Amino acid sequence: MRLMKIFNRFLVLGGALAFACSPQSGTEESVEAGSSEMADGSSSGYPTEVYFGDTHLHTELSMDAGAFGNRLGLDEAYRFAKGEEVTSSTGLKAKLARPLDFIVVADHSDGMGLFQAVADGDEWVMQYAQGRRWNKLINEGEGPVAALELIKAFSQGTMEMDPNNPELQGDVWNSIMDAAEKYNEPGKFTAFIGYEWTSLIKGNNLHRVLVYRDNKDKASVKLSANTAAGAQPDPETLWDYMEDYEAKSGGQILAIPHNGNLSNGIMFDVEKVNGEPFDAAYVERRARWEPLYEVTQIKGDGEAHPFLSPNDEFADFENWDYGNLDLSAAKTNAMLEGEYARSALKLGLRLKNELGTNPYKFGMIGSTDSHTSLATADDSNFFGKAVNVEGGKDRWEHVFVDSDVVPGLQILTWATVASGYAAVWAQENTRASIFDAMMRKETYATTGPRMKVRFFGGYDFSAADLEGDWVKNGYDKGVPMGGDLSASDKAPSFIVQASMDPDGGALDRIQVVKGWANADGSLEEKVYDVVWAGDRVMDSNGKVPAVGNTVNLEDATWDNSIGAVELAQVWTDPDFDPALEAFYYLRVIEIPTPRWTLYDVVRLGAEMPAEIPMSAQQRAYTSPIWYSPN
Amino acid sequence: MLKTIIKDPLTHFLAIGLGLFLLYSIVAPDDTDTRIVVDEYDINELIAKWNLQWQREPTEDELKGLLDEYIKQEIYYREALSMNLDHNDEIIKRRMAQKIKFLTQDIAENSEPSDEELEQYLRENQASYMSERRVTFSHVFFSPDRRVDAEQDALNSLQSANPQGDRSPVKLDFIQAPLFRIRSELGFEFAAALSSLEAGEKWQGPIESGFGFHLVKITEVDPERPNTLEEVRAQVINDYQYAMQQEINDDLFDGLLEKYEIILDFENGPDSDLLK
Repeated sequence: MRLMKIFNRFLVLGGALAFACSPQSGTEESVEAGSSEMADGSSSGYPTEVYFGDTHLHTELSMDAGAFGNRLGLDEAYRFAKGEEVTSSTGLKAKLARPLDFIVVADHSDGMGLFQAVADGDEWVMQYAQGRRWNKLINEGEGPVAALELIKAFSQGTMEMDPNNPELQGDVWNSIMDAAEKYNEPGKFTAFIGYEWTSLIKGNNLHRVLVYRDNKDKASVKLSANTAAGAQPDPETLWDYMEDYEAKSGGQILAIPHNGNLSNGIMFDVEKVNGEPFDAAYVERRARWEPLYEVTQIKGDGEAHPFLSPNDEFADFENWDYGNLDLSAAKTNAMLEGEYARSALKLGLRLKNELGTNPYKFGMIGSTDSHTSLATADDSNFFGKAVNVEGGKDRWEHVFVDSDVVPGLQILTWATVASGYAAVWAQENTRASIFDAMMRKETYATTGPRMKVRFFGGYDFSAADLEGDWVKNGYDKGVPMGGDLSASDKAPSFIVQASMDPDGGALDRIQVVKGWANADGSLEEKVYDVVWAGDRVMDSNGKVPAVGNTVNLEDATWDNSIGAVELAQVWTDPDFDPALEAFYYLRVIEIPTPRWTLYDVVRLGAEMPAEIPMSAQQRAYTSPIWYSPN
Repeated sequence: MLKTIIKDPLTHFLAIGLGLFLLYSIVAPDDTDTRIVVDEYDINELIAKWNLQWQREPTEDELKGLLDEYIKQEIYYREALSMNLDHNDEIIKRRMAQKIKFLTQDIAENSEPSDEELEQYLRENQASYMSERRVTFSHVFFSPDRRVDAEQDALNSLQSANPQGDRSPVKLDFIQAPLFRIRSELGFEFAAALSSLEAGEKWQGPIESGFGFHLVKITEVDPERPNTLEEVRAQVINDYQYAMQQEINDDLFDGLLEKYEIILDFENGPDSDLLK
């Protein structure tokens, strides 16, 4: 004790005297003139570039990631995202074929650094039976078992220790901010300061990722917010925190919820977590602080669910409808409406009619939520959710979560999804520019591929607007994705456009998904096939037949010739009712390409039962454009 | 000479160890085996920890409780030491080893590299510090969606001064575009093919991308060239410190290892396939 204290004193003293400290540069948030981005011609005011990134990556600093065996820290996470080769925790060489443009390292603020403390057997942890047990498990090579127990104890609020030891937390938060400053390179690569607020109510997931527009000088004004031990898992307390942060720092911050599919119906509830009804202040604050939703990631795709959308043949896509985060309660159909993006967007319209503000007026992004420090969403190179399933021919059958409560309820690793990325239309690759684009929701989600998608809504579009400088036409005569259409008697029309990922699968079709709220409070939705590849003919129900599947199960290849390079159309709503609140978003669908499970079969010789999918139609979801009669 | 000594992590490490030892004997002369001195520093530290955790000052009772706990722990700690309970305790070993690692981290992060050191590091790793090849070009796109033989059509248009292609999924004119941008816009195949072409008056190609076939007219190429320190200083400092830290860890361990004789004695152990 005493020695340690003096040791610390000495280091502070020695550090100050013997070495000149070098504060990291990178506080300037401007792009030098003549940089690549400016030279590419983005001076026209509207965004001409789409940037791909991951807003949700965990390193060893997250307690669960560490417990699962992640030994890669902040440096490796950033280096990998920027396209450098790193060695994964299990010793595999890993390099992103295409570097990302931006990243948010979002380690859990709850239990930040806790795993290391448990692994190292810190005395304050070892006072507790749980701490001793987990430490023992880790030392015996049973880290993943310790990880699951730890997550379950945290989920259920049964942790004996305070996971948020403030001493530990301050240091870790500081190193997270420092690393973001170090790797942020305005104009070329954006490293956001951020973290994940890990709220769980009885195992029901209410997680949010927080993203700062600011540099460390502002972000360091407050310690990251927690949810456990004294703090509250109620999102309203998070909004208090965010409000206070902006007031104290003069900076800006936003929150991105994710995994409604693991919330057992409470992510997009119609009442507060304490059971009180929504009021005007609540819905305004939710809309203010949470402009985006992470709709697709490794733990399932959350755009739509076949139970909610029985007429949508593409709704059944990588859904996770087993239970909540720790499987302490199984899923029921009644919960689904409060879990999926499309149903939430619809609920938001009704709430707007009732309370004056739409709390669920969010844009869409995807991200990985990878716990390996490796931000990759590629099926051809899937590193899994966590280090214990980074590779290996039997990983598909590894039990990902096992319910303690419901006999037989479990999720196997084959169900994890190699998804997704956040696409942002921004003027330049800087914290400010990308953050501002997120605030105005000029974003879309992809399940991994980097297709480019444009979506404009207005009242004066005609087919001619697709010619020449059509992007300029879009901005001049309408609003981009994330925007609002004001009241009109004339039906809105939309520029709908997507081009394929030049290194991915060709396009099957683009759909417009419309949702609206009827005067009687009922909610409806409709999916329109708007433009598609080839000469397929729409049937009498308004549906275009399936594109086919060219995936070769022997060698995991496919043939792009059945799909399209680019699809573009001007589409006018044929069912427009000027009196009703509505939203429109695009779903862009690729032709089938190999799923990560097929690569495991072909490359590693994995043997899987026939019901496990071997191909998938990757897709993108844009932020909606909203129509309001008021 | 002095510089070499300071740069040698083992020397550095031993100096810190000596410093710690001296400091300990100066600052803590009062703490004998049976005397425990609690000073303002200790109290302030207890209060500060409380503040961090509970966001308020402790009450008098709470502070007394903290102090009691502190004294109890100190007594137990010393008794445990005198009974040699720390020996062969895996957790204590791990913790002590970790403290050594912290020490090396501190050395790496606080060393400010000189310009000469950075220049040298840059030269030794020049391959990682190249300005990217930048190309100014226009392209015309021939879409397989709209043509039976897009490649042949592109080839047939090659001699035209003003070839007419199809609507392009990406913009037609690129100005001083770095290779990584071209790759993200048009894919690997196209970027690789474009890199092998030089500037010229005429249309060249066709070259293939994931989209289809393209004719290109390259007006300017800024070839890849070595970056100077001024262009990439921040990045070089980052990489240098990262490399330093790895190196210090390795050097320190190698230096310490020399002091020890390691004997791997597997003769009488339990049979394990791994040992064979």
